[in-house]
Amino acid sequence: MIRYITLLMKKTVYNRNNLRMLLAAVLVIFGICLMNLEANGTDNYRFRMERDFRHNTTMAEHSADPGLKDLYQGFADRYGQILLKLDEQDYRAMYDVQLEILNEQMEMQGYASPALNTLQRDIEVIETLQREELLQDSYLYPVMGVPFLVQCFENLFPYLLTLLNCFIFTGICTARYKEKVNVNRILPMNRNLDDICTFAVCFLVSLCTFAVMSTFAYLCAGTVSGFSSFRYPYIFYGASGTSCGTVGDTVMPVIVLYLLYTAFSFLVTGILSKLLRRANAVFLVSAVILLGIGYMTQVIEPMRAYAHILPTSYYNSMYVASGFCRQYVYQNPNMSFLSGLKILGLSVTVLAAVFPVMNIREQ
Amino acid sequence: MSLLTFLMKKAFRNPVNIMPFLLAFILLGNAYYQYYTVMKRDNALAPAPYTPSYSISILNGDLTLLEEDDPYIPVIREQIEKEKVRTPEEENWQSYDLHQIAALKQSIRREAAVFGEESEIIPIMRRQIAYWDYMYRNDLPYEPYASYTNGIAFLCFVFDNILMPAVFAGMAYIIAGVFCSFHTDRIDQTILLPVHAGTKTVSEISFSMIAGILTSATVICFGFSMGCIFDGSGTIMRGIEVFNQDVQYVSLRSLLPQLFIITGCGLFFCTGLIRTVCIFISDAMTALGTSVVLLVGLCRLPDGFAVIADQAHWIPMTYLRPFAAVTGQLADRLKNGSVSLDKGIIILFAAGMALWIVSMISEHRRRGMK
Amino acid sequence: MLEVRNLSIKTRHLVFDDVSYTFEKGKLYGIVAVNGSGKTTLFRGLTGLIPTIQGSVLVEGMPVSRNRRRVFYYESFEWLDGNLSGMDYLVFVRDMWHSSVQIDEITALWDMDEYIRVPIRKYSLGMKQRLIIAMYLVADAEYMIMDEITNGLDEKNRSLLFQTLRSLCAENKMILISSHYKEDIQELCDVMLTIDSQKLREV
Repeated sequence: MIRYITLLMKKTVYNRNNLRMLLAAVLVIFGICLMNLEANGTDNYRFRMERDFRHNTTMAEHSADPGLKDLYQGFADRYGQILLKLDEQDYRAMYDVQLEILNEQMEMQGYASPALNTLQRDIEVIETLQREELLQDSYLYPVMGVPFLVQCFENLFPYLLTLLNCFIFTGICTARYKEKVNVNRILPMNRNLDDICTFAVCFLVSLCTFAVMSTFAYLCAGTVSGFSSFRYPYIFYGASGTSCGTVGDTVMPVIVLYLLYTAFSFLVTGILSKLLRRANAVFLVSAVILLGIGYMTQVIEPMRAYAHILPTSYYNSMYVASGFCRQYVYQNPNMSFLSGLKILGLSVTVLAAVFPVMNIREQ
Repeated sequence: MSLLTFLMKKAFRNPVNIMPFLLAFILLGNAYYQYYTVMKRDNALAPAPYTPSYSISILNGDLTLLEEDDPYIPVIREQIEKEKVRTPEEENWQSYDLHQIAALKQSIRREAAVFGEESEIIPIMRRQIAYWDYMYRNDLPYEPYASYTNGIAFLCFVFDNILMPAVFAGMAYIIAGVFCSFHTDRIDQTILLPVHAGTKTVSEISFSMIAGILTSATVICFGFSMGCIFDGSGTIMRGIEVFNQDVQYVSLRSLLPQLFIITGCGLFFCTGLIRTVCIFISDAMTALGTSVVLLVGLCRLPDGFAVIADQAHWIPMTYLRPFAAVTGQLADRLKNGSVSLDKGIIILFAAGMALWIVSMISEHRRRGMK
Repeated sequence: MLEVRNLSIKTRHLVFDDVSYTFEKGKLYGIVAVNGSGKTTLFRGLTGLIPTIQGSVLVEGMPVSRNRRRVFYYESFEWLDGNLSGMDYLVFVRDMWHSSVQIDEITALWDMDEYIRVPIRKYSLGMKQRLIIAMYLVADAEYMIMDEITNGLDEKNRSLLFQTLRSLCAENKMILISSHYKEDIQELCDVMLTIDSQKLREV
């Protein structure tokens, strides 16, 4: 069994196409990191504070009303203090001043103003940053290790990793079929054992890919702009509203959901391989199932109501863990990490049971 | 011509090439079923056309809902006069449209009074006003806001959401499969063909475009037919939301030429990209994977990364969402004012030409290689 | 004639080094060499399928890339698309090489009428090999390069093949065939060649 697994691993690792796809994925991460580095200057913390300082100074200069003039001047002075503290890298004091500004802005809002929620969220974020003494990264163009990694997990990895997994799993699962004949039948090995070995290899390769891409993204950004910390603030969307946690709180749910979705991907690809026995067709159909159905559920409003019971809805583990899926993507309050755990777990169990049945039928 | 015929046979005699169509039909069928179920459920609440007397009483009530200087007051008054001479047999929905507008305007005032002008619901209601205004001005029969069950409506849905990525991915599957089938043992058999590189490229362009057009047309026709069978064809005057500074609705008919042009340019670009990928990657599955990642990935990447959205106007794949490109939704969604339809057409066509020229040069070099 | 001038070909290692030879029309050349000596590589180099380090291959004084219509090479049945029929390939070859050969005569001669319109994936090895032979005949090119064309043929078809090749030579065509076995083609060929120490030499 170990020999067979070793053989499959060699077939996968020595396959230049797999390496090329992985390299291409790594280049994409590198490219985005580079672009973020270039654009970061237009949205980083310093830029925003300088912009607000200039804005309030200008407003103070041009305000005719003495009350308003004093108000803007007050804000301008405080933004100036923030910039001073930023130069001194005294983040605690810097965020103290910023919190003062935010609290004052909150008092100025009407009781039902929609801006209140945003301000409250900002306050929680700044409080967390202050507690951990971390510099806030740009929202749009993050360049520090952890924030950039989060951006990749939210917007890139769900699609890239799923497609990469699809590609690799298809290559492994369909390699046994030559002109639709399963040549592995000549091996002195039980077919279920063959499937288990294939699963083990696919899972291992997928884990390695995940590790390589995550580490690369983290290092790529972190070596240039600093790594920040896994205690960096992160917004969670719950049933009762938003709350501020840390990135570290998402690590376990993201990894667990990713592993389950990988297992689900393998099972879907494996079953399709047994049915279609052609690499191209298997790749296309599995990509459509694993990504296409999730996409369809997003765009077709009536389908969102039962997105929580479709395993394909959980491909973006970061958004599921944070509750963003529940709030915005599918607008389905039943979606959560726990529901993902149950649905993916059930799907994996059911599909895993299909394999031996298909082997018996083949016999 | 022989090469084109041969390529077409390779594509359409392969029974597995039916796969993308089957997938598209299943996805479309499911999408339609979802919308149809909702429609049937909501049909119980669907209004009946107003009788003239009812219209007059409703509209008189609406006059009190509006502010004194509201531009709809003379419009409502005019409608009241029309209703006075209308017979009950003449079906007319314009009074209903105006009533919706008046009710929405009142809702906006209430919302603003409680939550201020920054309320998130107010822009949504303004868009609905624009929709009912369009329905009124064009005297169209009743169709609920955001309904996709008739032929034309579902066609719009297909153009907006299915064409990219489903059709383009399916096209990549068929075309890459054919081109890569000539590669065995890293040898391109077509080098042996006694044709000029230019002639071969023309045949390949023709084949790719025909395959692309057939794929798109099949999916579009299927979607349209399904809508027609279950809920009628709808009207080509259907209002489509256009993203300008103000919310505006225009007829689908006025957008059709631009829609077809950009879809055609998109097909031309996609086929060029797939062919270029197949030149450098001889394995069919890798070529398919690369094409899909490039086409679908680069099309969707600007949505998630602001830094790419800023440069999205230069990326040809950005414009592979024809509906969004034509209505201006693309520029709105990416928050990039440089994204425009005209730019999209030029970039897609230029990029397509560049790719096909690369393909031709590569072909020429391989044929004359030492 | 097909002229090879100072041809050097390298794959993983140097396969041919500064080879020069002239293949004349009206003659049948046979190459016999051990496995892995480079027969297929030579054919690919002659037809321009792979790049060469140096040298040139000229057909009637012009590079082979400009004279494709005079040359026909179809390496093996693995190149065939299983979804198409044999007739699809014959028609395609006839049109591309602008040949006036009657396909019906060829298929009748080789007893292919029964299955010529059936998808190739249903063919046996012998059927595929006969299809390839038929393609050569339909192309009616002046220079034909055949890589182990006798594979999979029974005695009757081998004999028919050899007869056909001799008559093609009589029509002033140049034919170059390869085989692992000298006995296979020795009596048939006008010139026997072998590959030895990265050179092509007559036996």
